[in-house]
Amino acid sequence: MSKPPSSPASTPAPPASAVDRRSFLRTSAVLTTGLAALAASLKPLLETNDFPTMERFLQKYYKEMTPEDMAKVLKRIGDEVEKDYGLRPQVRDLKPMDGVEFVYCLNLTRCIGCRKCVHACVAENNESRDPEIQYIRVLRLPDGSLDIDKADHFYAPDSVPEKGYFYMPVQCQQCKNPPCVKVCPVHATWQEADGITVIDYDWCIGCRYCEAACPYWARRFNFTKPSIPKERLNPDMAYLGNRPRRQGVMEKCHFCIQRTRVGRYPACLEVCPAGARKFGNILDPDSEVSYILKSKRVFIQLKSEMGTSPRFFYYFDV
Amino acid sequence: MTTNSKTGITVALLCAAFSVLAVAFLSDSGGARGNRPAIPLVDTNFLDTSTTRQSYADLVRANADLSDFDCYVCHDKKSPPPLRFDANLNLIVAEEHIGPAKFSADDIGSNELAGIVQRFRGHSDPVSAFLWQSLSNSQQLVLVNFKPSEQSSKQAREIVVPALNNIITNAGQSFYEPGRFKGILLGAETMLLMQQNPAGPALAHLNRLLLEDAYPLELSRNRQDDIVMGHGKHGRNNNCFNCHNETNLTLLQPRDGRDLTFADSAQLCGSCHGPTYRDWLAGAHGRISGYWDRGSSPFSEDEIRDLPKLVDRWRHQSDPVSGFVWRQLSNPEQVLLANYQPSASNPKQAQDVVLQALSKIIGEPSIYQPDRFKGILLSPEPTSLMQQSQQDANLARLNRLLLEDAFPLELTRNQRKVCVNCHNPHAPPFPSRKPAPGPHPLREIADMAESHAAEK
Amino acid sequence: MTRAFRNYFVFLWRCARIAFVGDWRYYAWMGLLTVICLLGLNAYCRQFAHGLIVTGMSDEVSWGVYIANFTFLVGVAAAAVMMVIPVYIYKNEDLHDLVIFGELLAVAAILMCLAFVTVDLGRPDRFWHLIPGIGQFNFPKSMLSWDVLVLNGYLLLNVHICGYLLYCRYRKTKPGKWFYIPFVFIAIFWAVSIHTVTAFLYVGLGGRPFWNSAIVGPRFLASAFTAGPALIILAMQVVRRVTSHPSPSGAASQAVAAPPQASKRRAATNEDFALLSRDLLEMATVPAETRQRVLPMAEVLEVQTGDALLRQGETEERAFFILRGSVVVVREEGGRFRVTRTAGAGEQVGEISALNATPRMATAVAEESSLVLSLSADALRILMESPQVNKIVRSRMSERLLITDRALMTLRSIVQVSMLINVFLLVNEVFKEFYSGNLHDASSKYLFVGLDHHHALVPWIWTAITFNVTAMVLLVLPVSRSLKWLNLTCVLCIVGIWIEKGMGLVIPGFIPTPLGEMMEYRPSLNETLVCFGIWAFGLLCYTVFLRMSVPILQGRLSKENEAAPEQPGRSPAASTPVRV
Repeated sequence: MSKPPSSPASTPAPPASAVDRRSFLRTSAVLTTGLAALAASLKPLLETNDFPTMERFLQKYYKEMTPEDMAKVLKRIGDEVEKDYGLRPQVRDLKPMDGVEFVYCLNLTRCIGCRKCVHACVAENNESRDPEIQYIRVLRLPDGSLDIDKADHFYAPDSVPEKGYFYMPVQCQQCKNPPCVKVCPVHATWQEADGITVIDYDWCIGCRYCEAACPYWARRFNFTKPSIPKERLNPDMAYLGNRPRRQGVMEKCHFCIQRTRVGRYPACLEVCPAGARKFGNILDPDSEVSYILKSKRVFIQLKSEMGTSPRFFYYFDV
Repeated sequence: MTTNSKTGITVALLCAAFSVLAVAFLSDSGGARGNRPAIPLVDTNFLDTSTTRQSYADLVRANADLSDFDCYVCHDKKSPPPLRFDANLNLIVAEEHIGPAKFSADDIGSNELAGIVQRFRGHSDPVSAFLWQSLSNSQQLVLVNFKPSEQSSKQAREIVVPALNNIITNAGQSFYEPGRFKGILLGAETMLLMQQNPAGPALAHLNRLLLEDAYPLELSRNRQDDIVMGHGKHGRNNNCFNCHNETNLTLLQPRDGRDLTFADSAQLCGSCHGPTYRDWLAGAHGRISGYWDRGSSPFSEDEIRDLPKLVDRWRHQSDPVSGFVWRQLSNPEQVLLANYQPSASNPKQAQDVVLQALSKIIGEPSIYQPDRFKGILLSPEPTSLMQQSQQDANLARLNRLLLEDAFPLELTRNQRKVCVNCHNPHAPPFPSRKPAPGPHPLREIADMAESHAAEK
Repeated sequence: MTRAFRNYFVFLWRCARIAFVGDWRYYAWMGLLTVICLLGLNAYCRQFAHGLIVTGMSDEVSWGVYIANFTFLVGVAAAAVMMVIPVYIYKNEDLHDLVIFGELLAVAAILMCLAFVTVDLGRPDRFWHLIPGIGQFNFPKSMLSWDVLVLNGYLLLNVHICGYLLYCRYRKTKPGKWFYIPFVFIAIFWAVSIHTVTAFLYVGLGGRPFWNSAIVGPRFLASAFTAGPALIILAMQVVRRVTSHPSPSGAASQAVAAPPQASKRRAATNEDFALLSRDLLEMATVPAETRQRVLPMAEVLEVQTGDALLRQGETEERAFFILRGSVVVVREEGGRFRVTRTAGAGEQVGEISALNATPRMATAVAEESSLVLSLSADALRILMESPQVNKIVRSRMSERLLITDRALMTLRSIVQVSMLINVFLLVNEVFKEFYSGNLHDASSKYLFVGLDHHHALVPWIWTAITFNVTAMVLLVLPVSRSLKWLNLTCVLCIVGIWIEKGMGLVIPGFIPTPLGEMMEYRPSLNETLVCFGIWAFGLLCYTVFLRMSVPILQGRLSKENEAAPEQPGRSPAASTPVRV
């Protein structure tokens, strides 16, 4: 069956050797140029931002690491940061404190929309500056309703606060029933015992399903290698918190886990000039957040109809 | 064209296409899309909320000069001071409670003088430009040739002070013009006073305040002495004796007739501002920093402000609390602290001893005993803690606070402030803008604020 | 065992080899696709190096054309196998061979889907985190994990079914029922599931009200069953065209030109039956007395190269079994000639028209000197009283590459019904979004009429709707029975649904963001090149699959001609191309 039929109006066939030579030349010409083009097309790979090393490629999942594994990984992270930034950081794997569940309350009467919290967060958590990743987005809403469709994200008046508006900063709400945790295909994000939803940056595959799932638009993706100026690096780091991330992984507010798990306030709270932010342990009846949730009559959970049960409460002064 | 040659042509074209591709790929450079600019900070149009004011209790603890609170030096015990109102029904505050309007030569130290002269010389800002123009040529020459020597300073002072005082009188007009003061941050008292359209001495006061705002580093003074009445709108509280007790000027009087000392001023504020006061008691009002976990805040090394003084007090047992602490130390520790010299290059040993001692004390049951803490002014927080039930976490917190109150100058305070630390009781709602002492805990914010201000 | 491996390896090797053989049009097409693939590969390398910042995506619109194409192609893959239902459940013979092409299209589509998902990942080097058991697979909570399972399972299913059926055809053995029929039925349900799971990816997100609607799943299926068969209609016509020629080639050309010749014929004997039984084992089960009854109605013909056994259009009720040699069957369609199959020793020709008393569907011409057993229709029927003979004859009836217009019309009716349902569901959705005026319609507003001075997608969606409605109207009218109009309609369907599912579903879900920010999206040049590259890759795969499967189905690439020696010194790429 493989006998080639001749074409209807065929010219006399050239001698076999000439045909062989021709076909050989053709094949090799096409193959050579084709392979050259293929190899050349791979050129941009030479410029890859941090090609994964074997160690990083094989790194275990956070929950499956033994303390020895974690120690090794922390040391490696320290080495990498030292190499990149010239500064030896302190990278810790902080565990949740017992009997602690964090809650954040934000006083909408007080917020003046200065965005100091946004930039404090960027500084504390080693977020990329170019492009700048900001975990917190402050919405300017006209007085009268909480209709987010009327929000202005990019207000830039000469000074704040402006008459007729109030300001609402939005960041990860650390929901009790987080949709992002549900949809992650590789369990790279989960909720810890103290209520913080964390991300294992070395496990995330960057599919951005969690970003689509979040009803509060709280998650951020590293579209390229994050750039942090060396002199701005915060060397006090946590594995699940503010250690420098890589290209292609998700990140988000984690309640400054490197601060809160040693008992300190998050950076956004400390820098707020109006004292609009309150944070603490809801399981402690004497904490200020317990007081607020007991005494204020109106407090708001954003999009509560989603059933996410956020741990972020907005309230007004009475 | 035969099939064969068609094939040949196709193959040739393919080879050409591949070659072109290869060249194109090799010469290509990477590309990335442009980034959106980051969302910037916005300037706040209310003023600095750093706790730069001192409360009466702070002054007591600091063993500071309390003569300002000794009202009967000037006033008569038998008759309350009279209140006078101007044409606009604004309370006329006595000059003695404001401070002199005009400058004297002593007001301007040599550093400040150098700064002022430099700004005059440069006259790059409108106020300096105006002042420069008000000088005669010879006066300008003197300032141009100014060098920080005693002779030169005397001459310069003789020029600068009258120039400034001229502004203060300013032919009975306010020195303020929007263009002149563009980019200059005005104090709360200044803005408040401006709204009142003052005349006479109040106007001089206003001009003085404006000058101080224009030269914040050179002409600053403690504005706590300045009383500008503005507590609430529509002239509310335009009467001293809404808050002060006219029969006993050392006391404050809330509406329910209680007598409060100046140290308990928070209760006075709370008698009208109930919800805020209750929030403040629970820790939910105002700025806060440090630890949400109140129980876990033992002293850290940066929280020992004055190690030599602390060690000194302890080893000399100069007060009951120091005696108590000293007795808790073991012999070797006592010996170590006894031999400690402030000039020691390595204070670490002493520091460790001190920290250990403090931690141990914090871990113990409540250290409060009335005679031990006699004479020590207790803050509201430990007072209220002691009224509550005894719980372990609170105990640690309580002991920490008691130690802070016992050693207010030597240890950093971790407890919340009282109202007057942030709020000017006479003028709403925040104090005059003054740079907060020390760097901001978050460097970048501080830098940004600076560059922000520099841009303006 | 090793022999089986060796045989399989030879089969694979020959299939691979034949992918490089073709005429200049083939080279031009494959070359063009390769060039586009390389452009896409280069663009992807740039993306891998610099990150997804080279695309037009952002935190606001975090999925773009990659996922849009993925969604569309999952639908195509699902629908391709839905042609299986008419064939296996309703026993529609016309579509029989098309099933293989449909499943091959499904395989190509799934490969494209996997490629699109991979290029969309921020860290494709961490793919192993998805492997159940080795990584951390969030099954069953995450719909994406479901999608990974069903897509890969579907791929394996189809690769197995196609591979098995083709290999059996190659070996000219009957495929064992248990090796493929159960899988075929599984594939039917699996096809519905892959698209439903993909729909659930979107539907399950409560934070995106544009997607969080029950109608998304049915719309997906309706649009998939429109676009998929439409693609197949177009693809089949291409195959038909490419496998046919303006004039018949080879032996057939002589037969068409030459007048009917008298072949040497004689009566059949038992030895002839014995000869037949050697190659057609089932014939041995026929009892001797049945054979005796048949003998008088049987003849044996000796034919030379170029002799025609039967001609297209004639009505003659004789069936033929090849005793020795080979016969090629050529069908003329609209002025073009195509080989539908070749028959070797033991195989039959002309049995369909003999049994059904219909005109001959093709012309059968001897490729070499052959010995042929000729039976009357009655004789054949008598023989087919033996169950085994009946089975083999019937099963072989379907082993020919016929892409009849009737098959295309069947597909057309699938497209017609699906498009009607699709448009109806669209009307439902538009009504629900706009009539009540509640606030969750921001995304729909943005899509259909624009929102806040942003209206980049409005022309797109209205083009899509116009295309879809026009296609629906054309499908309902009889004018689309003509192939020219049908093709136009199919193009309208495919483009309309691509826009609707891609731009019209994935992108507006992100605009405005859950916090109300409006940020529009435009794919960057790099992103577009990667998409083109992957489409080219898919077309490349599909072309290769067709290039391998058509000769197998025609019988021209089979185990029998394995041993035929290659012309010495010729390399496949440049040899005179094998006409298929």
